Amino acid sequence: MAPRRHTSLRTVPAYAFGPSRSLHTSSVRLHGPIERPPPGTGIKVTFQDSKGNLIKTVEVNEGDNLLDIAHEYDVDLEGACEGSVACSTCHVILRPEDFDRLEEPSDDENDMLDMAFGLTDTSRLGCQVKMRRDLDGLVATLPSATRNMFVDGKKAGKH
Amino acid sequence: MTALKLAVVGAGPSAFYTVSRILSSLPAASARDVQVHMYDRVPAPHGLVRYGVAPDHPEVKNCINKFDQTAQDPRFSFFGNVLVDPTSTSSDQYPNAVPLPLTSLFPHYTHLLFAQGASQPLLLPMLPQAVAALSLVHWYTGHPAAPSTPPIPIDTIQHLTLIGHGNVSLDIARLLLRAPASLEQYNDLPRPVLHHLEKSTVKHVTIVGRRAPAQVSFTAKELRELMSLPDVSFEPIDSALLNTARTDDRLDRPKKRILDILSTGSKAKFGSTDKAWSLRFLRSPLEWHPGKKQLKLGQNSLTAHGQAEATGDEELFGTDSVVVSVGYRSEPSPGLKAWFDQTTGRIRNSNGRVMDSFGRVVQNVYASGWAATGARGVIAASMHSAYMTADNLLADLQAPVAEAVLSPLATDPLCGVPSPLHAAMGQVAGYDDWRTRAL
Ligand SMILES: Cc1cc2nc3c(=O)[nH]c(=O)nc-3n(C[C@H](O)[C@H](O)[C@H](O)COP(=O)(O)OP(=O)(O)OC[C@H]3O[C@@H](n4cnc5c(N)ncnc54)[C@H](O)[C@@H]3O)c2cc1C
Ligand code: FES
Repeated sequence: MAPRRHTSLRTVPAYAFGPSRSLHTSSVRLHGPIERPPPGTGIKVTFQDSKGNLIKTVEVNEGDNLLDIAHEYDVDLEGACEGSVACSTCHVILRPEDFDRLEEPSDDENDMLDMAFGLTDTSRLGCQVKMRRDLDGLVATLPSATRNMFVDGKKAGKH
Repeated sequence: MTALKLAVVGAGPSAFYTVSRILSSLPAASARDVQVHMYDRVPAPHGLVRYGVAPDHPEVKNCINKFDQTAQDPRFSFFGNVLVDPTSTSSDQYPNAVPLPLTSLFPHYTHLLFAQGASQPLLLPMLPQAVAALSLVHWYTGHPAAPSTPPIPIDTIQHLTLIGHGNVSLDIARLLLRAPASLEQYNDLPRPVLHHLEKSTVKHVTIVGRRAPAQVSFTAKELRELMSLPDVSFEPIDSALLNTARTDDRLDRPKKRILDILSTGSKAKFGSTDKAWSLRFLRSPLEWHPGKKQLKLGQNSLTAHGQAEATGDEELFGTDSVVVSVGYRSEPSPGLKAWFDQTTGRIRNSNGRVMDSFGRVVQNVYASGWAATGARGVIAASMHSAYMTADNLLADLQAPVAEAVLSPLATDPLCGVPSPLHAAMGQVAGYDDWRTRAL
């Protein structure tokens, strides 16, 4: 089977659908790639999955936030609102000792965290956690991605 | 590996998140064997992110950047202005869209994903003359099926009542109450809408809910925002009601924080501002006479399980307009019959795998987002549903579900799109068309 793509469909002649308007997304902060420090000089951050399995340990610079770091190093952390504190998809769970070393989350951050899946007492929004020297060795756990949330009927769960 | 030619009904966030996960998991070299065709009945993509999320929340719409990336994948095509599985209602609402029967998709695709959301507002039979919140939302977001004038006469009414303690009610209250000058900065707000809002005479919005403060569905973020508006105040809630709510030991952290915000109230002192809002609890609407400007409310008490129970007491409440915002269900279109659950108003599924009425998984048919979960949850929730569906579809490509009912879709699909589209090419919109031409 080799279905052909019908590219002709994408360049359709103009057809008026209604009033013209445009939609803008705010670019509060674009995902510029952050700089990786020279090996051996950076602050260490470890990402692990919900079961505690190591994903990777990386080195970063002061001021980098966990969302940017995850993206720079291909760790699967979403940032739907791109760091605008408007989505909760960048939710990470910290160890109590790391959590306590950070400043209290703002009301706005807590409001979004309230909507995060698997909220814990040491949850943070990754986009709001900025790395500092004294946070060296911080461990960020990604919340569980598999949830059997919506199952109809009796045949729940995995087949 | 099995070739994948996937038809997606709907182009909202759940469609895009499902497709982005599928495409990024299958090697790009698979281009010849993998194709995704995404259909939407409106010309522009992105669903409720475009025509639901409030225009003064542009940061919520940043997820569109990710959808744009997915749309650039050469394996992806978007077909806007195509109404899949039309009903008489949807054909009326989208008269310009190309109708495409669901069955016409089957010979052309190996897989089908339902991601058409839950677009039918639930109405209250006792309030036939009330306006559905969705029509107001469609108006202020410039939805193609919306009229150009507001569905309620905001330039004459002073008091508006919203039924339903959810975020959509708070969105509507905020947009009607905040200073129109503060809205100018938002490019997503259509200018004609802004001009109507400038002429608005609405002074007070009351949001009525059948249950108590601990049972509200709105979220802290939206509530705090409304409480922080500089020239809008909130009528303090009866402290006895709040205290009772606080005694419930099932309260989780989000609920506790909402109760805190409710008890702190607005930054502006109630009575000190021209515009204000209030919440009424434990009230169910019974009757609405627009002519008399009176809403009859029935009083409720809360059962031990947190449900509303009518006490039998009634009261009359003066208001100029009533808007209902109590939820949505998916549209039970004819082609969905075998898979639609009338009770829940969504497509029957197990973690995104569509099931027939006997609870058996139907091969190669999937659902995600509000079509699968019902209309609850923010974009993040739709994303999780989408990823779960995508992961299951990918797993099934490797090892199909045993015991699954045979798929109505093709194993060796015809190329291209179903024939009803061929004659209507001129009406189909491409992914970027909304950027460059009048949609
Ligand atoms: C008014 C409102 C405001 C909201 N605000 C926020 C917010 O600020 N933040 C947040 O996180 N979440 C918000 N949400 C929730 C969020 O919008 C949903 O979680 C999410 O959009 C659901 O995604 P979906 O893809 O399942 O459905 P939708 O976004 O509804 O997408 C479904 C798409 O399918 C199309 N479609 C429907 N039927 C057909 C058909 N027969 N043929 C072809 N196409 C069809 C529709 O046109 C639509 O584009 C809001 C919801 C509403 C209703
Ligand atoms: S990326 Fe949206 S809250 Fe962090």
